[in-house]
Amino acid sequence: MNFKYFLVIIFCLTTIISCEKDDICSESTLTTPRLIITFKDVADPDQSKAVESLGVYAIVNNEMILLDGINGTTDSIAIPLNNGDEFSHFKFYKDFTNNDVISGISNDIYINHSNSSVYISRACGFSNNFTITSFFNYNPNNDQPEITWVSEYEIVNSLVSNENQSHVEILH
Amino acid sequence: MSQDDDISQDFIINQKYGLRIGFDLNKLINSYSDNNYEGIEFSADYRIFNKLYLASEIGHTNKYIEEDYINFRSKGNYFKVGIDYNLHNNWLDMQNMIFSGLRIGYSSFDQTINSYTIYDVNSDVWGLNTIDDSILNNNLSSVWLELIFGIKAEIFNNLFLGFNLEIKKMIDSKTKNEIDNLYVPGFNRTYEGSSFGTGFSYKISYLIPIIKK
Repeated sequence: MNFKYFLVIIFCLTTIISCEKDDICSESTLTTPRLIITFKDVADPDQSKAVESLGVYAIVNNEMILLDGINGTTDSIAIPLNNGDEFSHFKFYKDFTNNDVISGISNDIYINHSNSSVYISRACGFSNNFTITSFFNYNPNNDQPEITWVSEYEIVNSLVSNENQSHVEILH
Repeated sequence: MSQDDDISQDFIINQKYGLRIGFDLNKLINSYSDNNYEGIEFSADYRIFNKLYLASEIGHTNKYIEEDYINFRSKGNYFKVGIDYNLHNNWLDMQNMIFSGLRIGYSSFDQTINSYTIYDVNSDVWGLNTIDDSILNNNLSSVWLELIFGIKAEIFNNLFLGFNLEIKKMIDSKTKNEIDNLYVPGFNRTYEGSSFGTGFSYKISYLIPIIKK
């Protein structure tokens, strides 16, 4: 066999090898799902009812972090849960405005959940699925729990493994 | 007549047939230079026909890899067996090889996910969280086919230096906990959505001549 042919084969092979795609976690990959909350009418729980000017804060280490993309009148929201711990604490503001001073009617939402890792791929690693173990429409750590506008709630899907369906209904 | 016979006798070229054993220099060097890698591979081939060799490799790999979201270790042994076919026509009694080979490979290994960071595009709220509970997948196994192109050159009497390029195609890979086998000893790195793998080795081998014919 001619040595030149062999070099051509080696060249082609190394080209193929170096063109093997790198594994990159693509934007479309299913990530850790957010909690989907839909808002219903307390007088008629089958009817959705939008919340006027809703604002949601996550309470992270006693600091309030405003969630993006929620401010406004809406009848459903998606909020990220805490995958580093087994509870997530939020403050839901109705008639929310934030011009230097936060104003509106606030209501605590406190969720206990268990977390489980789910393998995705080499590039993305693992996502986290949540199972809601208990849900409070007040802060259970306060001596005198205060309920304002979130009258009732219903866990319709305790397993949070995707964002295709509602997990919790809030009645107001 | 008898004289002619004597002359032709002188021009019969004796080819050496025997067992050639060797090791992978590349893996040895990487074991010293790379803190996250330990590997060794021994090889043997035996010439059964003029251009055809039975060939085999046996090896051990212990490799630690850090990806963006996963850190893991893969550790185990492998065995490959097949043939090499010499594509090169040697002058006289030279024994150089430009060869193509086929192997079937089997690996038995463990893969441990040491730690991982939860992939969450909404991590700006709660932060990225790294989980240090390791996930041990024991007694994994893989079977693959391998196409080899390589060179072996006799640099001293019976001592050969060469290299191999290997293209691998996974046939079967036993996984656990729905986690991919990310690195398989002998097969090397696996790719998402592809069953192909690659390898390279630098070989030093020594021929123990058994018969000449």
